[in-house]
Amino acid sequence: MIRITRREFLKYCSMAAGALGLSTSTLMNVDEALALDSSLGGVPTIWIAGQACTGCTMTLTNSIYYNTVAELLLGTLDLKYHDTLMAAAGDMANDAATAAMTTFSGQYVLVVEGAVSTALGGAYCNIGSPAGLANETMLYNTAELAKNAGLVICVGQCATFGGIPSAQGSETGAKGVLDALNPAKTASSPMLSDDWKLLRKKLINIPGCPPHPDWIVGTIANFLVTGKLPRMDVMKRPLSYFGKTHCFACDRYESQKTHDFASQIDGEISGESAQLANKLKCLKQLGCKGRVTKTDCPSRWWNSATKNERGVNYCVNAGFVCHACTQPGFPDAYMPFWKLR
Amino acid sequence: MATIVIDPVTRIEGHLKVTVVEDGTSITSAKLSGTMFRGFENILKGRNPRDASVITQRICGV
Repeated sequence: MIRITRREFLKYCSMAAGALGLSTSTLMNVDEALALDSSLGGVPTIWIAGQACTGCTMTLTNSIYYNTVAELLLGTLDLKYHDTLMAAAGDMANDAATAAMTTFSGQYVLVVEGAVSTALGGAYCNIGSPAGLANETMLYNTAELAKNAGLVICVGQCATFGGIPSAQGSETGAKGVLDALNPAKTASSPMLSDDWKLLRKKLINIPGCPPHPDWIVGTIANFLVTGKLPRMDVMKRPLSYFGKTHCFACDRYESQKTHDFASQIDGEISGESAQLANKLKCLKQLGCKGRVTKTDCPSRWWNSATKNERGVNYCVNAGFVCHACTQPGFPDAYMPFWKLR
Repeated sequence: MATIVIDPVTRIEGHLKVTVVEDGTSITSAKLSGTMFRGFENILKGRNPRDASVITQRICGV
């Protein structure tokens, strides 16, 4: 894992917290919160993965300029369990998670990545027994770990709204965490109605396929500073990142107003100048879902190489359409993703 | 006869379980189980071929 200094992590926090509208004085508290937490050994965190592709873990570890991943995961968060990153395996791994669950009951952070399979009692996804149960399914482990957690963060489209594993044709009954554990919606849910209502109060959804690392780290930094959940919409998405539609900050929006739509995606056009001109044309008629998708991708961009600047590229700048990967209903409700005009 | 189970196998993408049976001197049985199923083939059925590129790239994020 790439080592980066604590100073750089703090700088990153300032940026992420800045996006959340936190003032400089509260930012000082990030430093204090981190100092405090590392003296206590960090915030105990259990990260479980269900029907996932591990892309959400990768997005977090790939954030180039921030990348005190070691610092974040071991110093600030004190990661007790993460089946892709931890050294222990088998019973040792399970015991670490179970011990953390018991010792820090009501205080630890549970991060869930990947959908929860609900068909056949959850048999399509077994993850071992981090919750110390005889039942090894993701469904039962998630319910048990979520019940005892102080904060539950669902990371990625699968854990929030079901994502690709829940698409039409799937036999596994994949659902997002809130739906999978809701006894009113899922007959096989091991959770009681009252427990689910409590879960709903301590849960944050960070959708996206994958989510931007800023969204994940910003949400955690915000929670460390304020000790509270951020302002969220009805689908439990933080408004600071998912409050406005894609078109709101899109470079191509001007051409939507003048109805000067692109007839082809950028890559299909020959000639550099023609390609550049096409870069400013709205992709709506090729199937872009930017008008309904709540995200700040067009102002944030992805894969930042330098601090405090927007990233290198993202879907729409690369000439592909926005395919609504932060919206509930993705992918089925937004298909076909793109079409020829 | 003793059975050794390693579940989960960590530091991999996905979910894996190892079950080994040994009789004191040698291993008599060794099984690997992939314990997660999503069914991408089923999900892809009947869809617009152009959308396949968006869906199949989500098989593995590593």
